[in-house]
Amino acid sequence: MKHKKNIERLFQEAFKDFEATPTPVAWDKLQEKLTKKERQKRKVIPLWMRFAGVAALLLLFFTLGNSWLNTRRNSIPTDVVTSPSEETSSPASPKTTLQEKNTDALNTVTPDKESAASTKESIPHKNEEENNPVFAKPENTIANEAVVSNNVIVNKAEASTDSQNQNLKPSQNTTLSNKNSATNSPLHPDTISKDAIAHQVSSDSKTQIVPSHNDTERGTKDTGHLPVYSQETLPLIQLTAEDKMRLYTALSSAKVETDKASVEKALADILLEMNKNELTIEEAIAKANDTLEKEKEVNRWQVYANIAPVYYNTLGNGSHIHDQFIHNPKKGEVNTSYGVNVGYALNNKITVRTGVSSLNLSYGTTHVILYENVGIPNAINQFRNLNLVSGGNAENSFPNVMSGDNLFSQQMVPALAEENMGTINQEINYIEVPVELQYNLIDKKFNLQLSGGFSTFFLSNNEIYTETENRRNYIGKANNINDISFSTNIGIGFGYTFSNAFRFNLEPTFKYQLNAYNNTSGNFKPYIIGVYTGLSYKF
Amino acid sequence: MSLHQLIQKCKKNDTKAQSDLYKLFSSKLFSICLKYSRNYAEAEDNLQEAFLTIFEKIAQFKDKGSFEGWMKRITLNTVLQRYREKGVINLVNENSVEEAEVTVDEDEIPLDYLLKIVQQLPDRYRLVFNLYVLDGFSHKEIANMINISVGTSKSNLSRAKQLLKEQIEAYKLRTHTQSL
Repeated sequence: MKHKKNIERLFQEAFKDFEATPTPVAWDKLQEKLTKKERQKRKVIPLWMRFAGVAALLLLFFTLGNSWLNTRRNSIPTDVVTSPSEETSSPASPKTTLQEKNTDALNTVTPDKESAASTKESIPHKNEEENNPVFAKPENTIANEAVVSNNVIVNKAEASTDSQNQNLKPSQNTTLSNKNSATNSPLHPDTISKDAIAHQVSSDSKTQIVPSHNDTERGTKDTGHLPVYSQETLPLIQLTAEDKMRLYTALSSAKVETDKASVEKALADILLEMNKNELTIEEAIAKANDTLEKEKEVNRWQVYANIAPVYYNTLGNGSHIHDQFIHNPKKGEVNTSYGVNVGYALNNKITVRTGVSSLNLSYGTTHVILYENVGIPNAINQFRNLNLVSGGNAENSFPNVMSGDNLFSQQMVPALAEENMGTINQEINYIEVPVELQYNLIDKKFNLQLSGGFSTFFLSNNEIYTETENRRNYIGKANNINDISFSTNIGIGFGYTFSNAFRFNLEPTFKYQLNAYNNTSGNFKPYIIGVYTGLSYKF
Repeated sequence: MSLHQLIQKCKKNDTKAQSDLYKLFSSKLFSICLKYSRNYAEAEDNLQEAFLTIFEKIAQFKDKGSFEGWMKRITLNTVLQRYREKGVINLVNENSVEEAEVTVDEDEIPLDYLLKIVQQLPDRYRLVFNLYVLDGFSHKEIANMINISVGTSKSNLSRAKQLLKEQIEAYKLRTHTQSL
């Protein structure tokens, strides 16, 4: 009579030191996947490099256009205002730069398309693999990434139980890894594992039952489950809570995705999950198309009417009028800007927008003495940057200004000087065409965006007034303001969405003017701060 | 090179280090995969996925606790994940608990045969049997891990043992008739 033995003991003893070496092919395949992954990781970088490239290109266009404009500007004699016909021809080139900007900005979509294409490619490739009965590992090859990411969740979910397990069940480790006692074991691990493998392989290859059996089993499962899986709800029922959440977030995010590539990626994920549930590739692709159609309904366009108080000032200490005003106190002034923007969402993160707005700016140079040259016309105009007009009461009187700090003016009768002390006020009106990229940081009910880009300013009005306490006189124009100038813009947008289509926006923006003036004295670096508020409408 | 250095290199995606790490631990982890999988090919798939996860997450491994234990947990999770995705676990809810001890005659049975019959068990039985008998988890832990009730875990274990016993007896019968 043989001794009876608990079956649990039997297996525990047998598997105590169980180790098995995988075939060398396994490492090759793994390495292949690792390099593939590495390449996918690297793909992300060129996307950003392209963005940087676009930015660099814009800068290049801008610099070239700028220098070209400036050389043209310099070749024109000082009385620029008198020859407007020549100047009107110059805007042609910045316009083309603008167009280039737009196309470049849109070109940034192409990498996405490429990556989308690559995800597409991967699907049929896996299909092939599935059809091959010997290498049939569809779940593995397709779902590699999905599985990996699932593991994160699993790891988290089970972290607590795992740590408990370690404390409670030290036997786990010993059963799995006790290598030292290998020699004591009646069965040598190496020979066993080799035998096991050999046996397994031979039985597989000889009879071909295991793989083919599995496949047919899978096949019958497929057909058996097809009608059930076509109902979208079932995969949810079959999954665990974590997976339900995952699938749910994937689906819901796919609906709001506006970027085709990321939609495809999200879909690919779903597709993989479906696939693991033994869904056929065809069905999964059909599903992907469904969701893509949903994606098409996303509102990409957005119109944004805005109005803003704008503050105009300079960073440096210079003067745009004349050397003598460098040290005069200046004051930035608050004016208004209003306009319309059109935005196009490249994806749910990035929006390209452009528009047109009217921008009024004014800037004062104070502590200036105002006087009139009687009978002395522009001939002795000391201000190369100003075209003074004849005016005032007398026919031959010309209004003029000088700095209150001027030594000459201090020698003048103080009373007179005091009375005539005033401000030179430069008023400018631009038509502004911004081209900006907007990046959504938070896209909920309250939203937060970062925006950056360029503005092109077309000068439409330029007037200089002198202001005293009770008088305001037009004295002329500045001739050193470029007809076309640019600025670099950066802003933070806050938004409140109160319906699907309408949103209230508040966007403080800083615009640094790059070539507003031709010829300034000292360190005159004008900037604009605007708090753009308005309503946007999506369609 | 110490294991610590190897891990550090793997964190930097050093291919040579990854290869070394694989050589060092693949057979230990592969044994887990073999026990929990249906066949050799599926086990290799699981091993690959486990290593992909290990290389991907190795940067997150803080030198606290056993690295081998960490890798084993990842491997086990990889294997379990496959079953979670397949949805086999939730479909079955058998509550007929049979706690009877299952015994077999004490005979030498080759390990490869034992492995084969474990692999041939239905997924849910194999899972519970492995987790409980070979890896020492409690029914409660198993229930949490694979989202089944404790009762289901117990009854699955019991069914698994019955099936294994039948296979072992069949084997003995075969070898007995052969030797005759």
